[in-house]
Amino acid sequence: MTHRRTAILHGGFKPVNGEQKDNTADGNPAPAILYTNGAGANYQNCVVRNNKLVAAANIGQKWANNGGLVSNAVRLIRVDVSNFFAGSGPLPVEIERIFGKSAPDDPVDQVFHYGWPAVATNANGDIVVGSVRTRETIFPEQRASVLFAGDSALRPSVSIRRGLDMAVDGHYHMAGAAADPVTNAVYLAQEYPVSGNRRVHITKMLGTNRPDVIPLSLTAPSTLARGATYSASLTVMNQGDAAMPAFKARLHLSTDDTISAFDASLASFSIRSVAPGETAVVPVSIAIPRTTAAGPYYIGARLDIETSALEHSETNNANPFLRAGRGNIAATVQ
Amino acid sequence: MTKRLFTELKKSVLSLIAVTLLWCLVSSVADSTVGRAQLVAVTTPKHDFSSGAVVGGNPLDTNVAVSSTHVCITTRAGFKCFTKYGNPVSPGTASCDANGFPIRPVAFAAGALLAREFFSRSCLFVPPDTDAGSTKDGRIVFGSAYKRFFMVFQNRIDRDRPARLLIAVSKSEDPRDGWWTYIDEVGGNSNSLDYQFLGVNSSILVVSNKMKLMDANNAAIQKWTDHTIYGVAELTQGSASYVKKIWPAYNTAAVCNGCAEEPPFGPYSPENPPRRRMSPPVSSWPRPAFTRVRPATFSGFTATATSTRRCSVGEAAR
Repeated sequence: MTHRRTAILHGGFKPVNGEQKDNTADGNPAPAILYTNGAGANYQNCVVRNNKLVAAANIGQKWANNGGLVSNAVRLIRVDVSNFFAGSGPLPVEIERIFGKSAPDDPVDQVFHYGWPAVATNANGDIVVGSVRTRETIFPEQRASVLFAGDSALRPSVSIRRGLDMAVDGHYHMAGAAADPVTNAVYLAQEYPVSGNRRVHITKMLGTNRPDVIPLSLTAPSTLARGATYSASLTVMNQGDAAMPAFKARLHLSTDDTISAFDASLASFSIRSVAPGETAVVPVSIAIPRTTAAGPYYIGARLDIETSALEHSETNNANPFLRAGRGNIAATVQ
Repeated sequence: MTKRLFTELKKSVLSLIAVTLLWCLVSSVADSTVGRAQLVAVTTPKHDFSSGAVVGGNPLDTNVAVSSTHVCITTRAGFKCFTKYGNPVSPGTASCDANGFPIRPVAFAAGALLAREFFSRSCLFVPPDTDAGSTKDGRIVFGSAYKRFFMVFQNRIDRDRPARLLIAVSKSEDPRDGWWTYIDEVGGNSNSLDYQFLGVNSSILVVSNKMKLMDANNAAIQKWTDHTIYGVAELTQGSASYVKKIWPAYNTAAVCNGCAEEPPFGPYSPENPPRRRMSPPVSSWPRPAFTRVRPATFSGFTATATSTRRCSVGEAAR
């Protein structure tokens, strides 16, 4: 018995470098997009999930309307590896798609170069491929393609960043893709040039956007008297990618640094809706019960106690951090 | 009345047949050729953002990993983490300066960090980047079983051997909570490595390296792939020692006549197929069930009980 199994694919040519629009009048051609450079030659990006191996690679391809010339393309394959160790012979290739001449939404009769793919699959088996598209009349462009589980054809690809003038050199080398562990989103990361520097464009395909509120910080007096009322200030942040609707929250007094619903309530209040990425400061009045025993305590918040929205994480609505106090503050009741 | 009903029914059936034929026609076109017009909706991005300033060389060779709450990217020699909205976050608190000497703990800025600085400021001794590029090829994955990011860089120069892997494991799925950091030598004094890639499941972190056997002139005379396998349970807990397995044993592939992948190295054809290394029996491959419990042994692998150099960024783990 052996694990030497192969998947039989159609033939292909070696990757070739791509062309891009020339942004200068110096008479020199624009630097090529190096689909064949160094470690990136035949670079392959793959992932195994639910017994399906999905891979994407640079290949050279001859298209019917390209005068016999080879342009660069992306080959996407899905191979069933569920019987990899027990079986023998070629592995079944379930999907093989080559895109580069014209993705479904490309202009007719124009030959594009596609390359530097990154691929990931979500729990449904939907495949997302990110790649770079170039042609002599355009600057490089990042695009994303989706093949839904059960579909036989790629959805028309979508531009996720265009006009990337690779004026210094045509290096891309590789890109990244990763599936979200909770939603069906797939994230793509691809570099792009800005004023001689490089940055990374991160794109979320598929899945659902959700809010994610956390109690970022809390201020309150460190010494508290039983039966007295104090002003506290709670800062909440929505670190998710969707708006958080108005929600209910509560401050608690706990004998340890882990706030729970069983801890004594100091205040219940409402918080307005919070936009994605927004931080909101909420003034809160807290009353220390007369029956509280003197001693050291922690004050902390629990957010969205009535579950106003489905969030990326429900566990960080209280005790959001590992650091001392877990995001809650120490106070002494006298 | 009956005749009218029959006429309506006939119309409906004919319409259904026409729609079915059209659907089949469209389906066959869509299925037969990539590049034809298709009657399907464009799938647009749900959210996107720019990394802002990053560090780590050119090209960036970026990789990405995602937890339920955060997104982290590696660049060639650095990394940066974000909320899912796209705001950069700090990877925790440093306890050493850039040379590895203890300082009063100070939070890393919420921004891009060079890998060497990150590992050094976690108090690991990381050999300096004498050629300004020896700490590089960052890769990152997210392990769903333990909800941790696993990030690996190489630290090597072919003339200064052995090569090292720099491994960081987040202490939660929120990179602000800090990271366990490790430095591990891979191979012996005659080996170097390059182009490592990662995979993780509930039991093991596999780092596949392109290994090189070097001669006295620091030239690679043999190349092959090895797989360095670490127990995830120890890495996620910041254990002072961890299980490490290696397959194949160092240099056995290099001296395995006819078994090495290189040379020659492509282009492959039916007359020149890729030559593959001999494999261990299937039963010896680590294929643990999806469980948080690490198998007690991995048979068939070269086992190395590793004395670890382990440090930390941020607070103690939960």
